[in-house]
Amino acid sequence: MKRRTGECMAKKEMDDERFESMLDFFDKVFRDPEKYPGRAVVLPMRGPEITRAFTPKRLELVELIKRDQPTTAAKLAKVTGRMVEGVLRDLALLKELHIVQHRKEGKEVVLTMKQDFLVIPLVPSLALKELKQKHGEKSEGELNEEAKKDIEAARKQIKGGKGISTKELVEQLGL
Amino acid sequence: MGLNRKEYTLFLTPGDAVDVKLFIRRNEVVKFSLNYRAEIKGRWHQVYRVDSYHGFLHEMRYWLSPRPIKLPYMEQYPLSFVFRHFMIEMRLRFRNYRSLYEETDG
Repeated sequence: MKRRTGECMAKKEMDDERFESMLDFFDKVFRDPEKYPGRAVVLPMRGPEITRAFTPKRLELVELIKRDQPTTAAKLAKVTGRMVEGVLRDLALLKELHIVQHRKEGKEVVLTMKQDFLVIPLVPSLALKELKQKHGEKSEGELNEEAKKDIEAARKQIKGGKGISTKELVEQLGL
Repeated sequence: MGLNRKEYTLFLTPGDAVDVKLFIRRNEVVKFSLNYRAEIKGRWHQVYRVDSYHGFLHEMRYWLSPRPIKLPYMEQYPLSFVFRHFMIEMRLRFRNYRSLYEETDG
């Protein structure tokens, strides 16, 4: 079954774009630390991931766990008027995102929230913005292909249309 | 005037986390710690740490020993630069640190 939500980002290794956004975030914290919250799990996410992951129902669960912790899935289902299975599915995602923690106590799963969470929205890089301006709205894969063509065209312009290897280019630039 | 503390956790993978602590005085970060921990066989272990506590920059390579190793060559740089440098180092090397820890602790 295809996963519906922002689960994918929670399962994977942090990619370069997310890591760069994380570094940017800490640069900002160093510049003006008092502006930022005291304790949080930091989640760098793309815009669509944020809207898919943080549905109103999941945000309601987060608020309830924060308020009533430690609590259980059964109690949350009762308070929200939802089926336990649905609540458990949402809790699984919140656990994957490290927002809630759970431990087994007998037959019950006890839920807690050790710290708040802070979502860092990823912004498209400047290079991506420039490529979109030049080639119009295309997928990232297509834009990558366009970028490769641009680089090839630039190479051909140098050296009278004969092209230039990376090694030659490096030598010419004296790097 | 006392120090305020900020604490952040980020996950490099679901089983590899970095805990960041920043100590702030008059809206300026005055010391930090970066703590890399790994989930191994269902338990979280501290594997590597770098911090600027006690007035000097040092790291702990827990697969060797918890004894601090001084890093005087980095002390000439601004704290934000040092922080950024070790964040990048940690991301580049965490798998290596993890396997070294697993070899000695496992």
